[in-house]
Amino acid sequence: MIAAAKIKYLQEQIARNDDTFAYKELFVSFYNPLLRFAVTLVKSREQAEEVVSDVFINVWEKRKRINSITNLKVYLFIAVKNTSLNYLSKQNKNLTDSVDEAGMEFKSIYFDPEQLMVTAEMVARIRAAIEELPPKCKLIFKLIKEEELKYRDVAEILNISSKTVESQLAIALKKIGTSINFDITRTIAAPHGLSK
Amino acid sequence: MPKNKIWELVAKKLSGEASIEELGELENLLRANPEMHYPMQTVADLWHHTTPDTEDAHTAFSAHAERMKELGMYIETDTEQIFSADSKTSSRKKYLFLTVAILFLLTTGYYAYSILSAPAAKAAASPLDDKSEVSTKYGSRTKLLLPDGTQVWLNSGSKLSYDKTYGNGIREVSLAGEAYFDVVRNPARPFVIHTSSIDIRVLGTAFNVKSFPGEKNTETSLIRGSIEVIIKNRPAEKIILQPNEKLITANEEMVKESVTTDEAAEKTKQLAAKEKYKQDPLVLVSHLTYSPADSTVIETSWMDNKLIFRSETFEDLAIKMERWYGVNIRFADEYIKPKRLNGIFENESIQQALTALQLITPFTYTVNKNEILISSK
Repeated sequence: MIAAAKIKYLQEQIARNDDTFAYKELFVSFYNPLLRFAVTLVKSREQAEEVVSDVFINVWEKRKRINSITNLKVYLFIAVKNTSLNYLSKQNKNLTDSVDEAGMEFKSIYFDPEQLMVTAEMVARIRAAIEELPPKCKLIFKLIKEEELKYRDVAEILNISSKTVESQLAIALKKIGTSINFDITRTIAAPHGLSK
Repeated sequence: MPKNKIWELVAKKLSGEASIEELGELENLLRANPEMHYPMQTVADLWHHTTPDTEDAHTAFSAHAERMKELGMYIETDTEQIFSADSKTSSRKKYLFLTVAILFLLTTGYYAYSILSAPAAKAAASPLDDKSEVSTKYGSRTKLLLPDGTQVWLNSGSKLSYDKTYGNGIREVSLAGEAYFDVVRNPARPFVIHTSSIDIRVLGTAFNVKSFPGEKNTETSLIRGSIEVIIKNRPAEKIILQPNEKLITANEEMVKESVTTDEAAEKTKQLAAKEKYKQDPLVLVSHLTYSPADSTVIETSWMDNKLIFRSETFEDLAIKMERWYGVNIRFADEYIKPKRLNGIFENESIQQALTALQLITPFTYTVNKNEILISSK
């Protein structure tokens, strides 16, 4: 994710100079994170692409005013959320709290056992632990880990308190950590595991 | 329960939210609970195990731009180039991309002698609309993307043109004014910049270009890599610039004109002193200038919206300020013209800039619309 100062610079270039190059750079920098986020909400790759594109069209239309946005990164995530929810409600999908209900796609988190220095079995265990997390907890974990968002950013995006973000992330890490711990205990109990 | 507390602190540490006190607390807790060390470490490894971006954002942007067009959203025509940029090239850009930047300051006393006349003549065989031309007004700057992904920053009062067939063979552009180039490396298709007095050929890696009409010299400054400069009336000579070097070429027309040769003669003396090109009084190789404050390269400072001047005569500075602010500056008398000035303008308005200059050197000025008259009295 790009640095805040860079975002601010691009924002200013777009607002002041209609700088299409800065616009492209902004799009390119945020495309992957925003697409991942949109996919978790609308659950369709195609629709998610449209959501992100719509959000950026809106940014260009309102470019003269984007300079007044204090945190453009958070703004973009919120815009993706709102656009996604609008999209779903237009399709008459019943969603009261779609962010909560969203089944997270966790294909984006990938593990390389060799790099992590853990066994394939443990990777499967970690993966399972993440999959078993409640949707909101999973989403918070993902937003902070993958998109490098701050607690208060995630709180603002999901419209929850920072305290909730904090406790949910701790729960996520604890569950993942416990799955690892369980694995160790088992490995130690089975001597052949040590000789590997 | 210490374990919950530990995970809460681990979460804060990994997400960069922990205070120094909290980090200390975590350390103490881990010391008291050594069995937590391994799972905590593995979670930390997992955390820092970042996911590579799977989507090609450049291709996605092309699709996005297409959609904007369909929705009737027109961004200025120049930007069509940006949007129609070959996405394949773009996606390969990160691998092939070697930032190339030429800094090149072109100065000619003749506005009429536009370097564009050269490509225009060449384009005679093909219809005129086969050319793409981008120009900036005084007081505005722009960025554009060429079809091969090469980026160009165009300073105010400048013009860049190239054939629609750009990139099919050799990559050629013509420049009148000042521009900074970030050239995508492609050894099979050399990148050549034509100006009225010189041609610059990009040999590879990184270089930075900048050019402006209306001044006495042509300047080519190399930030990184290697470029080859060919002086038009002496095609046999090729000058290869090394990083950190700046090539100053006295403009041919200026030298021919006897009235203005004073300065050229002065330059000639300086040039003669340089061993490298002492046989050639028209060419001077010197070094890039760094700002003492933050060691930024002064030659490229315009890109950061900074107008930096070092020991510049008021007369020369006035020319730069005209372009920068889109105004006309005239002097009521000769007295103040040779005054040498140092300074940086960043966000100042023209009024603020003039007020600041008044602190350095006493003068008065009157403003009439875009006309500024400077008087030493």
